[in-house]
Amino acid sequence: MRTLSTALNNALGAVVTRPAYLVYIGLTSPLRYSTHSSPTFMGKTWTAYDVAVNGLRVGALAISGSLIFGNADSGFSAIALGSEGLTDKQVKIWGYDAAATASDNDIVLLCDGVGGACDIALDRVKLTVRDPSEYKVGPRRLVSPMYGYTTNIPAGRSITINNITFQVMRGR
Amino acid sequence: MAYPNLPISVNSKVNRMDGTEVVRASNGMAKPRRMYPSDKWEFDILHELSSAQWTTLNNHYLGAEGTTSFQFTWPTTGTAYTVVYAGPPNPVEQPGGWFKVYVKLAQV
Repeated sequence: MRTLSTALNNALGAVVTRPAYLVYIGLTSPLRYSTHSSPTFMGKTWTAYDVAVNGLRVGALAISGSLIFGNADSGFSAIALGSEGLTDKQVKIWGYDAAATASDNDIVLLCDGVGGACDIALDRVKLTVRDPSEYKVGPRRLVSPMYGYTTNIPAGRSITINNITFQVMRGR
Repeated sequence: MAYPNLPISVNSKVNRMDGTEVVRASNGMAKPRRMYPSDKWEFDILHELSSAQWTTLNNHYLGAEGTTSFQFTWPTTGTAYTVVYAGPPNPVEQPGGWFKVYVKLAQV
């Protein structure tokens, strides 16, 4: 069970709350942005930036939602179109309240995903957030009599585990 | 260079913003969320200027301050704000060679 810190609990119980997010993007020089002011978290200063968290849903092995970055100065589109790009880069999002930032424990991890599709417009850049396991192939070894599997599921069969659909494919 | 020291009409307006969003809980209680770290101000300024004063203001806009931030002191409070032009000053010529000039400034 997740336990909120006393400071965060008090902040969330205030008459006026000040909700905010931290956004991390794992480029070679990581981007650390805050939707509010510039707090210190995990020993780093997180820069106040024009970024909004939109429709974030985190489930078992599935993440949906997006990050919307202001692009009025074309700064973030330059990052998105840069040599590294944003696809498959680690994207982590934390939630916090601006009244409770003294301790790392006041800031709560909401999502640990990767960058997906990037929609670039003149005024904003929309980055879809996906689960790291999406589109991956598993298991990472072939299932065959050679490895002791003498009764196999026919190729083409779909199996749903924890709301994730796996397609059984014939190995090469 | 700071905003020129020109007479400002009492009919000028300010818009003060703190990013507060109020939602109602299921029992009707207001649940405000304040999204800005600090208040931001926008100024809708009305000047009534002579031709020379209008030239001073126009030159300020056409100079470096047209594309960068500068200091503006709101006379009601005497507080200085760092602002940018939110659009060009719009002059309306009046009888007798005077100008009504509308200026929009936005705090950065």
